Amino acid sequence: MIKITELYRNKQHSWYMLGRDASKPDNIIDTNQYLVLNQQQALLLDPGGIELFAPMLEALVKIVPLEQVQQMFASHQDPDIISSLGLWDQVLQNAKLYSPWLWEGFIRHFGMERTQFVPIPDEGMAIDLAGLSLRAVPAHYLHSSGNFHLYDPVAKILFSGDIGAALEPVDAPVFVDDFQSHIKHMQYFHQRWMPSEHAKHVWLRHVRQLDIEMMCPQHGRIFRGQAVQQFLDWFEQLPVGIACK
Amino acid sequence: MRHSHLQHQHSAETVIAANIAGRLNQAQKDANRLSLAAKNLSVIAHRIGGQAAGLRTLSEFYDEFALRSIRLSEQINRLSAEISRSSVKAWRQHQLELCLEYALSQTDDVKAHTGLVSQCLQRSLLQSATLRQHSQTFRRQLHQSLADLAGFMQTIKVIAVNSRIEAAQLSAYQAQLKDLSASIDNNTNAIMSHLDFCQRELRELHDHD
Repeated sequence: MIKITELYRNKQHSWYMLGRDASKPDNIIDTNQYLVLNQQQALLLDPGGIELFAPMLEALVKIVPLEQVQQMFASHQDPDIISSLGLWDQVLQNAKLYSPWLWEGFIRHFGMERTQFVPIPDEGMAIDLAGLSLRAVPAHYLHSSGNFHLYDPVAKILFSGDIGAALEPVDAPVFVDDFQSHIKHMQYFHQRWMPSEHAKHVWLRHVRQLDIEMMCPQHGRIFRGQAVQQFLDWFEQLPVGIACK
Repeated sequence: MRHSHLQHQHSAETVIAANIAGRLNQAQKDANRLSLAAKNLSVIAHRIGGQAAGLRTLSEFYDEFALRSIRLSEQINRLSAEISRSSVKAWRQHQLELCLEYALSQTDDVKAHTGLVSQCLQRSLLQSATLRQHSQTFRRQLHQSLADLAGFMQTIKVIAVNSRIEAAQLSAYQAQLKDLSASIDNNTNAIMSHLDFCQRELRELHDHD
């Protein structure tokens, strides 16, 4: 069963993390899915792989009626991000999928008959959620060549996709409490999956201008408060793209 | 039908089962509150002493049924999740069958009809039949569990009437007992409303078949 963690709540506006599914097969990487709710409209971030669809649906309807989920966001094209699309496509009404323009023709391979694809241009765009303006922040080549994160300026939450990700067992804590001891869980992931120093510095320059209280990756633990800055400083000095000698 | 927008029977089954699990999760929280109210009632009855012996016995009944309701809600939640998962499997299996049938329909080659594609199709049809059987078993269990939970709620309603009669004789604690009684009523009604929703969903699932 997927664990639901409320990350933020202010009146009609809330954020949830859905993850840590103890019932998933062992050889499938654990993923964090997120739900942003505002004024009875919901946006599902990186809805997850096809193997996760049933437990995700079950968890989702514990938070919100399915009719209120009309928007999805896929940070990039990987199967753990969006291979469940063909099934969401059949259960969501009038849904839109926001995703990098670069991947439209690829993502459609997962099955998309009824969902409207909204291509995000390279420079990013605003995504409206019942009057709440969210921002698709470019994160190209981190790790996918067409890649976006999502920033909520009201909740001060950055959904950071694979940046900040850690490969850990499903019983790992939700939040990073001790940054130094968390490094070992994420170092190799960032060095091997992230290909470009230039892309890393461009992203850091942009993200350092944002007011972030919580940084939520798609795998592993969430950074909050001081741990956000600690992560940005650590990532800045970390050599990436290590497979090319 | 509420779920008429869902094109496929499997997608309807998946959504309905997930909705039931979602509502039973709420019912479980209400049953927890019911148990708490029963415990508070028991505390007051103990405080009053011998004069409230009847109320004390009734509070024990309350608590017993509240705890049984919590366990049953958990079981229903698990069952609904099983139905949802099994219908996703059946759904994916069905998609495979459509592809295999299409491939076979495109060729007159006898070898194709006796070869691997055909064997895959037969295997898939068998798996689908097994999944259908599982789903029907889960659904029967779900139907029964929902009926059992509804029975518990009816019993709690009967106990509630008796406890109000008992409470009427205990003037010193009238206000507290009235509040507790209202809380028990509210939680019982909430659970019954969740149950009503689940039973309607389950009926719709039968209509989809």
